[in-house]
Amino acid sequence: MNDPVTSTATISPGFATFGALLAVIAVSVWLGALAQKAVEKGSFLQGYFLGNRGLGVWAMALTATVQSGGTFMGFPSLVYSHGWIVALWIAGYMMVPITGFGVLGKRLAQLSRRTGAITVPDLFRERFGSPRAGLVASLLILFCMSFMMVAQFKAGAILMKLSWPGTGTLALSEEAPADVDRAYLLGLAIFSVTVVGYTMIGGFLASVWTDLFQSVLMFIGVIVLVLLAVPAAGGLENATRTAVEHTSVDFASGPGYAPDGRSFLPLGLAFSFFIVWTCGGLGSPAGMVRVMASNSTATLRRSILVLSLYNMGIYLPLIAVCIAARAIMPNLASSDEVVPRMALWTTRDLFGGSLIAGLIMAAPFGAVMATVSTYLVVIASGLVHDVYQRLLHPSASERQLRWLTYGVTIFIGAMAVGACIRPPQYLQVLVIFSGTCTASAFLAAVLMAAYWRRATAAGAQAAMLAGTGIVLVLYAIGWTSDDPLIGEASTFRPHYLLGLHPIVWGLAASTLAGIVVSLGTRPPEDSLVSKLFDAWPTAGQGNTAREEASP
Amino acid sequence: MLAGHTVRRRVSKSRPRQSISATIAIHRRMPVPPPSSRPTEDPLLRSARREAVVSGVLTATALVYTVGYAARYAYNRSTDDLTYLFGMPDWVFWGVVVPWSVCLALSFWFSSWFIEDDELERAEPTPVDGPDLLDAVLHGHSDHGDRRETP
Repeated sequence: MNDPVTSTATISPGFATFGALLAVIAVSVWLGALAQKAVEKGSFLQGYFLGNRGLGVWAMALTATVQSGGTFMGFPSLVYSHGWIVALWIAGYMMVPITGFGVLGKRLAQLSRRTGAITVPDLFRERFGSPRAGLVASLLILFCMSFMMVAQFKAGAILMKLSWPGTGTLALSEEAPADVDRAYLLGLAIFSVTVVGYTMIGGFLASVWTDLFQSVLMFIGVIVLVLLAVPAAGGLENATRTAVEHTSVDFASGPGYAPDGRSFLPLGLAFSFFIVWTCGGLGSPAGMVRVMASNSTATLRRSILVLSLYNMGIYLPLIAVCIAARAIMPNLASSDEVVPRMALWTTRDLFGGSLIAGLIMAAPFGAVMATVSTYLVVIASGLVHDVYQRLLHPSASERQLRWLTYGVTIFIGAMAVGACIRPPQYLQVLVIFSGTCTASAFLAAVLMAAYWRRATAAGAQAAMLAGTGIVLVLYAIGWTSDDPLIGEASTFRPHYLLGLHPIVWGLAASTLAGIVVSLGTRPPEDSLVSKLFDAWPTAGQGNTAREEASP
Repeated sequence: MLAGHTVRRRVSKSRPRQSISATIAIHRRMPVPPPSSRPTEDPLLRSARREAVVSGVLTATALVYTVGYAARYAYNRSTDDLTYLFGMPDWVFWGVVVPWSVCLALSFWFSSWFIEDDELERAEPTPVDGPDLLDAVLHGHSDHGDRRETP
């Protein structure tokens, strides 16, 4: 089979492809406008940052564990590069629905209602009666999530650039003509303005509804692509054998294929990544805010099944697509582009192929937009509500808060764009770093807050700081030391202490610090704990008791 | 989607339950304190804790199986001994796809039968309280006290 990479160099996406992306943008903006009307119904804060706690099953299931640009560009890139071992790398996702909703969902929904908290820092502040705990949480959220945002903006810009009609060269090579750079920047501009725009007008609901729309698109896109790609490679087994011929048996076994002799997934990392996906989703502030917005506990329960079906329909087929890709186009210069390129190549001869390619490419684009809008809302809520309103200026009027929110959203968007002007590398690595940081910072602290009466404010802060600290230290050591030749190839790599990913150490340190410091500090106030852990009298009895109990 | 299927529901009521102290009191023929003065742990909290523990155990089991299977069968393979099932390498089928399918079935069981539905209270208003630092800086006075955002 002749190498189609040279021929993709002359396949330029048709206008229908770009048109499909614009259609996704248009629908998203429309959903944002609808969301704005819904937000206006209640108070600004509860509406804009928490959707008035009205999320139902579909919105919850498909948006709470945020599929991101990582799903559609980073992950496929790894499968393409290293082979079947990446199935083991992603295997933790089999338990993500159960852990994501079953461990903390109900309790966070309840605590959010009992305390009135609309953000994660709020939750810490009210649970422990400690503004400082809330502030520490705010700062860590801002720090960890910024990395994720920048990575996503880059992905979005690349996707727009790749879909730009008429650009003959698709590769991000050093000799890329000025045209390609312009296309990238233009893509970045369109992407940024759109996402920041609809998020700004519609807030939390805009990000949830567009996320839901885009999740459905992704599902369809992946299924279409797998149905086209696998037969084109002559079936999955044939694709694997062909790919192995081009690479080595490591492509179909552990620790994965790598031309420079590195070991992509030794056993310690296989163990670690199972934890990265299960705990990372659970510890993500974006996910926590979603479950806080649940309209009932039945919603959380049903979301588990919906998400399980969805995950299976996304990840396993994507692996098949990229294995097929390795057989079909074995010499891609930039593996990040495998999904867009496969979309274009598999549809080139089909009637209406350009449109189908656009639909498939809209999937990763949608994923990126969904992540960006989610994170914009969480970061904006952190700055406007947690830092400005609760710390500096509680008497701010609703009008002031509204305009401040708009300004902050634009500002964060602009900063992310600025960081992407010179395209940063290593989308997937940044995504994992961000997830590692948030899990190490928040998981132990939130578990303690939700289930352990004896937890104290100092303990929660210790848990957050210890977890983040360890992760940063390990990444700093990795940055300054030699490449150990395990894991993903990147200059932004951590030190794998005892062959384990930093998340393992971060979670351990966080848990230990949280327990030790909580036990070592004064127990929390009984009335506060009772308010959050004990049964509240029902309406028929003890109304006075409830009024007395509230501060 | 789950219509027609009865799900265990528990609506939270504060039912006085016999605590250890009451049991001991009865046993020692001491006066038992009236139920209304003893706080009872919230039913949602209890069911959530139980579900969290089960989630953790299931996850740990999946982890041990998947990584364990891979440790035994995914590494140090050669083109000669590698076989394929449904298009995938044998260790991928047994070590990833099969457990993933089992987890799908577990998700169904867990979400349809094991998790209880609990009632969520109506949300409290979002608290907005504390000293106004900005006012203090700009106007030389700060406004203390509780303010609640109107829901």
